[in-house]
Amino acid sequence: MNNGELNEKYKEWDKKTEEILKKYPERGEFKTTWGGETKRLYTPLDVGDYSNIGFPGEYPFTRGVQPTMYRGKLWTMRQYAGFGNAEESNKRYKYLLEQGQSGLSVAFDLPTQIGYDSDDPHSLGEVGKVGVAIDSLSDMETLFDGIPLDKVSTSMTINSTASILLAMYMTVGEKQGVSREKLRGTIQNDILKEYIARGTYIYPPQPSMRIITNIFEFCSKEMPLWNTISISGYHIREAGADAVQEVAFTLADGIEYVKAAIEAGLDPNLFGRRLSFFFASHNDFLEEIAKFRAARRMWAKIMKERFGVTNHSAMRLKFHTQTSGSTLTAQQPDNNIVRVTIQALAAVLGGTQSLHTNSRDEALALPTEESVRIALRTQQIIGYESGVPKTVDPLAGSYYIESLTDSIEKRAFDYIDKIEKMGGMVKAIEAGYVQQEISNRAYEYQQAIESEKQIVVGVNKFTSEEEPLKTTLKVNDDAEKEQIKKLRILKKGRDNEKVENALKRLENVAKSDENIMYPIVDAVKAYATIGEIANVMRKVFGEYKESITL
Amino acid sequence: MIKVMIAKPGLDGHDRGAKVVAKALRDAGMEVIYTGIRQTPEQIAQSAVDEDVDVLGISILSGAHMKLVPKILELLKKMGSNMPVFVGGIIPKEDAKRLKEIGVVEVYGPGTPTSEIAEQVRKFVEHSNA
Amino acid sequence: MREDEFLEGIKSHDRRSLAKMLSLCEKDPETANVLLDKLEKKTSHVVGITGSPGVGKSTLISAILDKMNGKNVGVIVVDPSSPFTGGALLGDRVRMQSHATNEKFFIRSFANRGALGGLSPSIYEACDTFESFGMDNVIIETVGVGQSEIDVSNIADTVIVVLSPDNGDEIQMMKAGLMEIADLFVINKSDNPRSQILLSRLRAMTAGSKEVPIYLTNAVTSEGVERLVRALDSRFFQILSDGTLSQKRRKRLLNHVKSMIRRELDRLVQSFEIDGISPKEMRDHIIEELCRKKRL
Repeated sequence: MNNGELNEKYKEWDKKTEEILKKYPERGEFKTTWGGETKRLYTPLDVGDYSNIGFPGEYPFTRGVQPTMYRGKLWTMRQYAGFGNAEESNKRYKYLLEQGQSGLSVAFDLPTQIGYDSDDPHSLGEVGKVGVAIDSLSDMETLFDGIPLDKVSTSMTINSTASILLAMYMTVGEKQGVSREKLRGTIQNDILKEYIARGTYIYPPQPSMRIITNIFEFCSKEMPLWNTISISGYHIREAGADAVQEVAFTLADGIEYVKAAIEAGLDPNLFGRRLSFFFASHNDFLEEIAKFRAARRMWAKIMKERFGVTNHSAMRLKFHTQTSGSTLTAQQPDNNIVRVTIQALAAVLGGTQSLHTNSRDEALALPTEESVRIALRTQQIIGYESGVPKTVDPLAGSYYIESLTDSIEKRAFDYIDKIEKMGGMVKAIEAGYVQQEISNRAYEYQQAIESEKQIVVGVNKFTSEEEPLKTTLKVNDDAEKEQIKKLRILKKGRDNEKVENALKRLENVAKSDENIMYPIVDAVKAYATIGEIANVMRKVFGEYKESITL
Repeated sequence: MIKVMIAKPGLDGHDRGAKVVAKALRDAGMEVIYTGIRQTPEQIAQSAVDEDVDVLGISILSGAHMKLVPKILELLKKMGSNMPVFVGGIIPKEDAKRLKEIGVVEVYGPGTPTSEIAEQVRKFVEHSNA
Repeated sequence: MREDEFLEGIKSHDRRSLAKMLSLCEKDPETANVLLDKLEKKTSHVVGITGSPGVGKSTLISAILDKMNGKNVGVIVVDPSSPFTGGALLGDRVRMQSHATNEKFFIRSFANRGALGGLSPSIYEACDTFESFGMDNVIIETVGVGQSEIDVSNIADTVIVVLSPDNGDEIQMMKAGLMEIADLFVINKSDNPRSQILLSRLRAMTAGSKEVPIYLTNAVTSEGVERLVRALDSRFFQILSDGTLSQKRRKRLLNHVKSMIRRELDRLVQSFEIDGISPKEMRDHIIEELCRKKRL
């Protein structure tokens, strides 16, 4: 059947079906998460030329960044963890490594993320709550005690203070006898999304971009195996963006970072290889799979056509995925195991390089050991029992999936063009445009739930009066007191003159255009605290103030 | 006309819920003042009193609520205000109970419909004016 | 708090009384006016700040407050009410929150509640309240769209029109009246090289007419703000001594009175039974009703 004939037959079928609707209507209108139409049926007519789809491991990488994908190696199972103090977190990491997790992912508390010591007035009530409290190199040493840094790869969710934590990690490695060139891991280091959706910014955009490019340069010389940025869409999605916005704003952030690095004199063919991305995996199964494929294809095109990149590896979008936290419910928590399974499966079918699966109790508290084990088992069952990793990009060629991939790509590029016309992502953020788009979409979604256009099982339908989970994790509340005590002891025991000199040197370098990582490493080695280091930079760079965006 | 303040204390930067609730209350016909993120208890209490709002909503998801919310209540009391205060976010059941014992009028967890919040806010204001 | 307590509170510089009094201005402006009459008349420098959304008005105000050494300043920020629901999202103070606990500053948000002028229906009463409280300056930030850009000139002693190079402001400048009402222009975001082009354009447009000073600022870094603040102070002394202030105050009083009458008129028109009556008849009835009320 050629296309012409197919089109005729399709129109016939469609007409016949419309007739049937009069007797058997459909349940309603079906839309994509961005409000686009979802047709009743997709056919070969909806699929473009195979050249735009291509082969895995080859431009434009729609089907995957490697030719063998999971046939060669399964995705890294990397569960985000960290709470209370460094000792507890260290225990949890050892447990997860024993249970078969292949990489570490560190969660830091808010004071650490925002450059406040545990005894700072801003830290009141926050110490050790959303992650581990790190005030100095000493805490970092405790965190990785007994964990061989040459045998693991570590992802650190840290942004404004990424420079400091990276310096600490590197120093811990060196004390273990592992040289810096051998260290593997990632720092999130994506400040733009902080302004957009996550809020752990410190300095204004310009100096923040300078710090980031300094880190790129430092790592290209000193830590070549380290992934220097995880350009994130997860938080943007969680803040309420739809699938198209998630891809568009993330890649637009990426464009801004590449521009900044090039301006700083770095070669995109080189640093491009060390960029990685981080996406959410949401409820709409098929849409999410298409989203990941679209993102890969778009980034390859951007690197090649816009930035003239020729190095094959530098065009590849490698990404980590986390299943969406905001889709989990406090009501009937076991349902969340099912949600996470669907979301994880979408990420695997989308070709993710590493994956974090949420635990069922995460709408209530930090996860218990049992809950986090189930989350890990979910990945292992998909990996070893479902058969899905046996072939590369199995859903390619599905008329619907390819059509969705094309749609998402087109709409996301529309957003990116619009942002370019505004002068780039930094300008768009300062104008509040990005935040406004997200906030509007979040509100629409809430209205859809409350009008029951969008069903959330257990919340607005199929509810039940039930007992909440009996065991949720209780976090040690004394973390704050303990940290404050530790700080006092640390400050007495260290060479305070050395610290002062290191901080002074840092201030001078911050004011110049030299690379800021080197003085930070020295300060860290002298056991300067995070707050002390961050405050020097606050003094030189100033602090960012939020835009009004409602 | 009901005036509400929605505030985000502490270092938590997740403002999706706060903004959604603010908009929903606006659509329910109320005047809503939003403080933005990273507010200290002092900033929140003083702003709420200066704006003379009828009710204060605190949004907090970082787990720091047991330190920050009582501080805000204490400051409001010191300033001579007895405005009703509600809390939204990730609050374990036992903490919600304790917060209500110290004077918080309601604690809203994830999944609470905004229409319910709007309705209850009206009731809080009626009761405190009575 | 009872009303007589408000008065005592205002006289003794009690912050809570100020807050309550401002609420009274919104809820019951007639009573507020009666109370305000009982207070001593003081004069603040009332500065109106207007300009399109996104030019940086709120950030500029925050930077101005940073430079207001030891002065008592009241800030009124106005945001639009939704014409459909009557509610409003008041987010301007987000930019000024670092000043929230400063004893010398008082920031208050108002929804415009559909007021014709674009500012709040009780803006005159609110401004009077701040003055009676003893503020050295009262800064009023307008909504930024529509008529409020003109109406702020009815209440302010000094009107600052803020422009920004990335706002397509050439078009904005053409807007009827904006050029005439400015006592001062501020070109914000001076770090943007296009601000120099805007400056030349603005100079060209105002050449020949009255001398309106133009200031360049970067509200984020505070560059140029100190100079602006000193200019405002100088201007205040100037208009105080050359009679301009009295003229403006007279204009403000008249507009205040108009707003009071308009309020009363609105009330009467809303509550009128309009079944089977012609517009002319209705008008006559309402005027009769107005005249019959000897003292409102």
